[in-house]
Amino acid sequence: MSRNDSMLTEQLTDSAYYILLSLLVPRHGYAIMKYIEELTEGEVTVGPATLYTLIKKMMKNEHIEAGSSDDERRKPYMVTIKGREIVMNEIERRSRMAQHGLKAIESAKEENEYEKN
Amino acid sequence: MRKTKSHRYITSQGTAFAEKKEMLKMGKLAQQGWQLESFAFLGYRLRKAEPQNLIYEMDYHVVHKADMNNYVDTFAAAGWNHVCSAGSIHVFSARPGTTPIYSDRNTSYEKYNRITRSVGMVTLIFAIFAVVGFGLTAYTENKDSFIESIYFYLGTVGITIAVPALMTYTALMFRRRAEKKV
Repeated sequence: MSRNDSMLTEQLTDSAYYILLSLLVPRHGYAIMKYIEELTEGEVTVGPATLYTLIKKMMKNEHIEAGSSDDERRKPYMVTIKGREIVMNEIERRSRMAQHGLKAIESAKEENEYEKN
Repeated sequence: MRKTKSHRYITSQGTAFAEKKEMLKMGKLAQQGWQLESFAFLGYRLRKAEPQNLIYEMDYHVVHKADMNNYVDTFAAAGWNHVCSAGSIHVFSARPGTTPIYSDRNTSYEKYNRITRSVGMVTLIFAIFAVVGFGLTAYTENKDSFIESIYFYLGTVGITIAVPALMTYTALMFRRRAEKKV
């Protein structure tokens, strides 16, 4: 299906990106939110309704899967093979974007200096 | 000895029309010692409690019974305590300063999208009842027959629900637009 092909080039929202990053190892709801805060040193917090919405969606898209647990209340989730591929692509895409930004700043500086001379 | 009231009831303007306003009102009432206990017919039931500073938020999600603990616990982990639910509508409270339940516009938009679509479906179904019911009433030859009164009844039920449903749907469409992805 064409929908599945586009999955690999699919861009993640910031929240989905951070949730997938936190699920490279199995984590349950509370641990996901806590890890994102730690990872970003408090710069990013994901609200519980946003988390619940995205977990449901990513389960449906098979980006993540639920693991088994004795404690029903602490159901852990983890990335699937597909989910891992998507987040890896996204890390690269986002670092390329950051490099583009730096490159643009550099070339703008050079052009401005050239105009002064 | 005078018996003090332990519960009171307040009416709702309809959460689709005044969700934010009503959640703010719940916060003010909690400060005055009246805490939201549950939904009631066209309103809310409040319980007398120690005055507390609380903020309230509402979520729309179809949560299966087996997943309810997981849903509620996710909120509790972020400092949001489950207050009450009615169908797919859930209310949570937290201390002032707690991160909002939706932290991005995409998922907040989806919240209103979910409820708008289900209200749209209800509107459509009852509008069909109204059209079919009144249509058949008009086409029935014998105006005093039992079947004619059944058609008329169907049409009346249809219109009674379809009109407020349509108003709700329109309000929700505006609400959804305010959260539109940028």
